[in-house]
Amino acid sequence: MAAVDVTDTGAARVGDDDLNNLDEARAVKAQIPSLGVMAGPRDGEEWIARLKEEYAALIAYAGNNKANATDWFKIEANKSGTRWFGTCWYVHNLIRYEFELVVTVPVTFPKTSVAILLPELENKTPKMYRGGAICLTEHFHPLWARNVPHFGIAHALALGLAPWLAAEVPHLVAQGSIEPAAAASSGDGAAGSAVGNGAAYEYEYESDE
Amino acid sequence: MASLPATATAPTYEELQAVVVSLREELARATAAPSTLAAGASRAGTGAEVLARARAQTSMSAEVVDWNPYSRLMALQRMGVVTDYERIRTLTVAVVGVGGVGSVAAEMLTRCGIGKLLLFDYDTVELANMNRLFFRPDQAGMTKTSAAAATLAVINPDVAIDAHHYNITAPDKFDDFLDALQSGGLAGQAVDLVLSCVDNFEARMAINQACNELGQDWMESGVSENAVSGHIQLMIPGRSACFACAPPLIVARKGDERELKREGVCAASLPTTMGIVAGLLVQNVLKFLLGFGQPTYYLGYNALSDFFPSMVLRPNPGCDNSACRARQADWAAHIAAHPEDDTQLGAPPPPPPAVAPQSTENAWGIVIECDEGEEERSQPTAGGDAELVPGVRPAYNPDAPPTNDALAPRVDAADLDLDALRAQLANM
Repeated sequence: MAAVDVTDTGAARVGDDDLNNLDEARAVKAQIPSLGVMAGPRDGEEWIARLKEEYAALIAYAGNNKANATDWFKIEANKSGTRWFGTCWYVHNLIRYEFELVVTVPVTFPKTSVAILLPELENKTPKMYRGGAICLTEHFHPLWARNVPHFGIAHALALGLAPWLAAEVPHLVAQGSIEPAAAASSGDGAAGSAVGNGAAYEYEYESDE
Repeated sequence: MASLPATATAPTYEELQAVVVSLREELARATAAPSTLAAGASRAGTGAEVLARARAQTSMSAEVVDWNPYSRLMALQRMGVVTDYERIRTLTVAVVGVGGVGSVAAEMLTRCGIGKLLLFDYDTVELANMNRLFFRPDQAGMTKTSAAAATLAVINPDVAIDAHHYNITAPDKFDDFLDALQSGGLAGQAVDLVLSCVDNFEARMAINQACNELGQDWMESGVSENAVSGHIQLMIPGRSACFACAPPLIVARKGDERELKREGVCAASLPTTMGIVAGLLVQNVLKFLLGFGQPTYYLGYNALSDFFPSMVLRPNPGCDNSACRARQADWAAHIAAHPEDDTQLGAPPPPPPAVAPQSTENAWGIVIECDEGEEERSQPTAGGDAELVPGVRPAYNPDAPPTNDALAPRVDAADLDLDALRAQLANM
């Protein structure tokens, strides 16, 4: 993509550092409310209690982001809370890039973390497993394992997806494999219409009914 | 099945084109398998009758003739290695994950004449898989389960194959998975063994959960992301460590692990390491199911230094998997009622009754002085639950104080309404 002049600084990519000890990770952990219910999708009423915590933590995190004009995702879930979907965006060199976001909750949650998928980026980066699931093995799974059941989906977005985007988007831009968001309102992270693909969004929700 | 979108107006040229494309793809898929078979047959040059050999009539023949697919396997009996090899025809094994390890393990079991195989995978064959064994480029695009089922049926039509194409970690598929393990045996009973050949932690934990709940024996296998080490582990719920009992183990490597990583590649793989681990796994399956030799509870493999650590992993009484603790209690109760079953983990199974060799000729006067294997097996197993063998250390200590000091206070959402929360997040 020639329109954007990007210098590949060779900055540290995901996995090069153990996020556990980074001040950044500390700050995020201190900002997002922690969770406490040890229950997964098969646990009936307990799962509902966990789901409430997931929502409350996401609301607190998203509210914080909005207040600080660092809003960077929009997310909703199906009725059972096992599949989340929405949009996330990342601003690189004052240009906004936007991606469809899917988060799936495995049957073993919260012992194991959620999977985070950016389906549009499949086959565009090697830091991804088939199906568009971003690679969390190195930089996030060990952190999650140490914080069960206190981490939730909000933590996975903040400490799993956000550093992945920060590392990968500049590379994807440099190799010309992604285009700026259609209505690129440059630089303004808190820009209005966050949800891009309304049709797909609606479909996913309906499919679970 | 391709179909036109239901619209009131006539289909557009583009829509018709899309339908043509999808119909062509469907036709290609439908004809792929038979044409491959035909190609194989003509290469063999022996005509269509060898395409799929006839199913074995009644039992495994021990006759040593070139048309008997089981003669070399039945020879294990004649040589006194296995008491009753033919028992394998009654056994069912579930292979979860039909990738680099699982597909090869399934082929090995098929060639060994296993009674029935259950295959689980949600993936499709891709050209990127061709650095591993088993799948062929012409199978690209097929689901791994259907491609594997087709190949295995040709290799040995005596094996019943039941393929399941879904992700076992999906909450809405997990009950199907439990059901298949519980009633997937040849006679509708539980399967005899589950093999975990998956490539991620979530799937291993899902298998662990299923097998702990069902009291189902299983074996775990894995190859490291850098493709140069692997492991197998035997889990007998309540008797040996489950996958959640011990923190993930790291086999010490010579040099820094990071040096081995190629920048920007999430997972490497080698056909050699995959094949070796599949071989170690199925060897352990045969020993465990057919009762010969000493099955291993954990065997590691480091390709860089040819390091093979082995150990017995006992269950953790404080395991945080409640189903594991329940199976441990079951086993304790069983031992109380049947003290004779309280054999130490890792103790040798009863040695197979000596079968006299078929040939009694000994023209060269060979005398067996000492059976080294016997001597080794009678040695007591090294005790100590927490002991790790040299070179193996835990990746982290799960009992260490958590990093909670840095965590924000816990959210209090118990009294909130779920629908209100949902609406609030949607409006943000």
